[in-house]
Formats: sequence, structure tokens, C-alpha cells
Amino acid sequence: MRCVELEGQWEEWVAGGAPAEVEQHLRECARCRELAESLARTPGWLSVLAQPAPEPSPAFWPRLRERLEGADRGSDFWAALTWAAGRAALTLAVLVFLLALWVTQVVPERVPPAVAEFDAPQTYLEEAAIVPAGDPQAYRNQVILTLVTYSEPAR
Amino acid sequence: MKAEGGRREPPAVEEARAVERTLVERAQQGDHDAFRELVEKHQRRVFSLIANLVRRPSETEDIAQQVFLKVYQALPRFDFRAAFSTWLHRITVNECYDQLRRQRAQKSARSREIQVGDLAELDRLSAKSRAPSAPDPARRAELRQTVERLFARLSPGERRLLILRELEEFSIEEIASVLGVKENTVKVRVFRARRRLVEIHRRFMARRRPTERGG
Repeated sequence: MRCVELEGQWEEWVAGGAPAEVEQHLRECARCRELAESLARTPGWLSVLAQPAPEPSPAFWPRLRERLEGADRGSDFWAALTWAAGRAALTLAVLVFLLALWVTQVVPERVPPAVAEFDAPQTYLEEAAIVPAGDPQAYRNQVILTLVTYSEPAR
Repeated sequence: MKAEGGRREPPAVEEARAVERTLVERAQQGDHDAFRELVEKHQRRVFSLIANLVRRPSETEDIAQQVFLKVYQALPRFDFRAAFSTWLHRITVNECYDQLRRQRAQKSARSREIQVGDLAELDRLSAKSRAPSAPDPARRAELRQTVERLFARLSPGERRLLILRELEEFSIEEIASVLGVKENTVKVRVFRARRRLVEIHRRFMARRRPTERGG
């Protein structure tokens, strides 16, 4: 038996139910024997700490009964509140669902479907004020300028 | 009903359990008279646990009120997997620790310095027997203060274990059920708590002796 195993065997040893090897270990190991002698003193020390438990006063049960009745009333109130809150949450969920349905099914019919606003590059350039509106020559020049600016120089 | 490990309980114990089960079931339906019977059956142990764990006699009854109120409120969720008494003791121990956490400053135990004479007398007391014949009440009160001071150096968990084991005389199995840990864990922890107490005692002796010799 190793010294550390005494940890799990001590309480049984004190009660007289530990295996014989504990006894043998204590005979052989002076350190554990000394510890065992010290540990055996702890019940005596602790017995000094015992607090006499006071008797319940005559008012103990009447006071407790009052609190139990209060708890019963409280639990009834909370049960009612929980029921009402559940109903309110259900109503709210239905309303949200109906609103979502209306938004996704009804509203899109009123809004015209989105279409491309620019059907030609020139129109886009005009809209973006990159070239003067209605001037094909300016558009052509702008395109050439862009091509010249961004094309890779020939190697 | 079979006890843990398949052992069969004596008939009287089984009958007592059946009666208690009926009382608990009635109390679960809101029957205050049944609950009163449960309170009267268990209040002595609950008061003793509180007195030893919290160590403030004036507060014992208020805490017991709180314990039984919590038990009543939690009764609908009690499922008979543990014995009612184990469940009640678990709630009591937890409530005591909530109270202690709220009033952490325990100054009374620090009001008087430990004297070597106290420690020596403690040793004499513990050498005599487990329930030593008490010296006069005033001396006993002083010794209690001394042990309280040694005890205050332990962690709350170590104190709880030693109180349950030594003052409330719970079995290892009962402590394991109340704290919700394995029996072997309880054995090891109780051993370590005792060893810590011995170490604290030794340190006090070593520190005080030269001072007293000098003074």
C-alpha cells in the first residue's frame, strides 16, 4: 500500500472497516503513523464546536403557513400572468406573420418591376454627365480617349 | 423498495418510506397539513444543520423558514429519485451557504488571540475521548473560540465537510448524496480537510511557542 492510498481508506479505518493492509502500512510507515495520530485528535477538537440547535418557537409553523399561503397566491398570480403572456405572444406572432405575408405578396404588385434604365453605353455616359447629352461626336471622342488612356502600350 | 446496491430495507423502514411518500405526494398537491407533518418530522435535523453550518443561533429559525419555503415551492419538481430527507438536507446546506456568502465577514471568531494553553487543553480534551467531559462553561467557550479560529482557516468546503461528518454525524454515503459527489471523493476530501486542520494547528503551535517563552 502506498502512503497516498491512506486518503481513501482513512474514514473506514477509523470506523474499523478498512482492510488489514492499512494497519500494516501504519506499522511500517512512521510518517503516516504520525499523521494518523494527529488526525485521530480532530474529532475531539471539532466536538467543541457543536452548536446546540434551538427549538422551533411556537410561532414557527403559523408563520411558515402564512408564507406558504402567500407562495400559493403568488404562484396563482404568476400562472395567470404566464397564461396571459402566452396568449399575447401568440397573437403577436400571428400579426407578424400576416404582415409579412402582406409585404411579400401584396406590396410587390404595386411596385413596377425593376428594369434596366440605360439601354446603351452612350445613354449611361450622358446620364453620368461624362459626355454632353445628344452629342455623338463627343461620345466617340470620349471612347477613343478612354481606349488610349487604358490600353497597354505596344511592346 | 430496495436500498442502493440492491439491499432490501427492513420492513419498518420500508413502511416509514411509504408513509413519507404519501405525505410528500399530498404536499405536492398543496396539502398544508401533510406539509406540516413533513416539517415537524424533519425540523430538528434542519435546525441542527443550520445551527452548525451558519453558527448564528439568532438566525437559525429565519433560515429554517426560508428552507421550508423553498422546499414547498420546489416540491412539485421532486421526483422521488433521492430520499426526501436527502433532498431536504441538500436544500438546507445550499441555503446555509447562500446565507454565509451574504454575510461573509465573520468577525466574532477573530476577537481573541489563540493561546498555547488553549491548544494544549484542546489536545488533552481530544486525547480523552470523542465527547470530552467539558471544563467549566467559560473555559469551554474560550476553547470553542480557539477551534473556531483554527476552523476559520479552512476553506468553506472543508468546513462544510467536517461539520457534516463530525457534528452532524452524516455517513460518507449521506454526504455524497447531499453534495452530489462520489463516495470516494468524499472520503478523500474529508481526509484532506482533517489533515489541513492538523497542519493549521501545528503552525499555530510553532508560531506561538517562542513568543510565549519570550514573553
